[in-house]
Amino acid sequence: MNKTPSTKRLSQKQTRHLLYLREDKGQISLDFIAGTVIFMVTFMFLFQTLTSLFVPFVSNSDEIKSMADRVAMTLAESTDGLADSPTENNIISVNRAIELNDQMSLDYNGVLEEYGLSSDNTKYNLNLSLRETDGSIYQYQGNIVLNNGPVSPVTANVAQTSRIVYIEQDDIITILYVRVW
Amino acid sequence: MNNKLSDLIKNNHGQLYTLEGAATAIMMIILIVFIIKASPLTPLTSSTSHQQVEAQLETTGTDLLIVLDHVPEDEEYSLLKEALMDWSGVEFNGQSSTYPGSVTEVSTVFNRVFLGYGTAFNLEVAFLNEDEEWETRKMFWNGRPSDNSILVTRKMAIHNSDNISASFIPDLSENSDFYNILDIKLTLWRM
Repeated sequence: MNKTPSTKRLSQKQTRHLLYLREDKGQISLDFIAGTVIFMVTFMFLFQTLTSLFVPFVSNSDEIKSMADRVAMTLAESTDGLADSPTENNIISVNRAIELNDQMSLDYNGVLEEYGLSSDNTKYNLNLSLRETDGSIYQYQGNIVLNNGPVSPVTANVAQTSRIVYIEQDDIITILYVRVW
Repeated sequence: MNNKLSDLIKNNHGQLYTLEGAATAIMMIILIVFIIKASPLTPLTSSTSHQQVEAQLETTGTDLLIVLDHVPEDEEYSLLKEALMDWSGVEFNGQSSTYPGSVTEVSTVFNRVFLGYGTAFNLEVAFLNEDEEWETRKMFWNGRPSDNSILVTRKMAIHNSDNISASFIPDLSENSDFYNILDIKLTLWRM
């Protein structure tokens, strides 16, 4: 009864399915997998690389910088800002500065609107300070003149413009810092 | 017909060209990425040599010259003009002590506004010489400026009544009160 299966002859109908083992057809699915992988790798590469590729060639703070420049210019050079007279730039009045400081405490949004930093769609933030040349906040007769607005954030881009101004009443050169973000 | 199709499927020629094509494409892309990544410092990169930093420096310089040239209500001369009238023409190098008093006052302002914030400055005075050509003398000198330095200037008219101390500045008009014209050149650069 020691019959081995190999010696058993199979009919042609029975052996037909064994031929598939030797076939090299139908392997197209492997190519498909390879194609998909290459596609996905390319896709991920694009997302990873292309987004950061042009960062050094793009400036993203132009908008707020020009706004800070404009606010600083209004404050330092116009009588709508802090300037003493329309003909003399950078000579500011301490009373106007104190007034602006109070106005910012009472109606911060109104000040933003006045300097064109707020509209229906967008709203920027403004921080103003008047400092002495050594960096400390300038005080007139013991009172802080101008240091107002929210604290500037650490995570966002903040544009700063500084203007050197002269205060006639106190005969002192101070620096006006305007920060917009 | 059937024969040809099976030939095409079994054919393993030309596969190297496809691989080469893919490899070349990858190499090209890597090269482009490398080149772009290798230039991280463009004019728009956030850095201390950004154009906005230079613009701020220019604003500060112009502001300071305006402020220094402002005549306070109870004074005859501005701080800057008084210093220039008293200046004898000596070149003050680096942080050497300055004299007389009015010059020291101006140099103190410059030191506090610029050196304290990492900005170096040179102050030069240009005037018209006897041949009516511009001649420049150094007043405060902190060395040769860097390539991205900023120059701001302010003109100042001098009259006979101002009694300027610097003897090398000539009187251009003997018959009138006009004496000479000064061009104050302030060079600023980040250290």
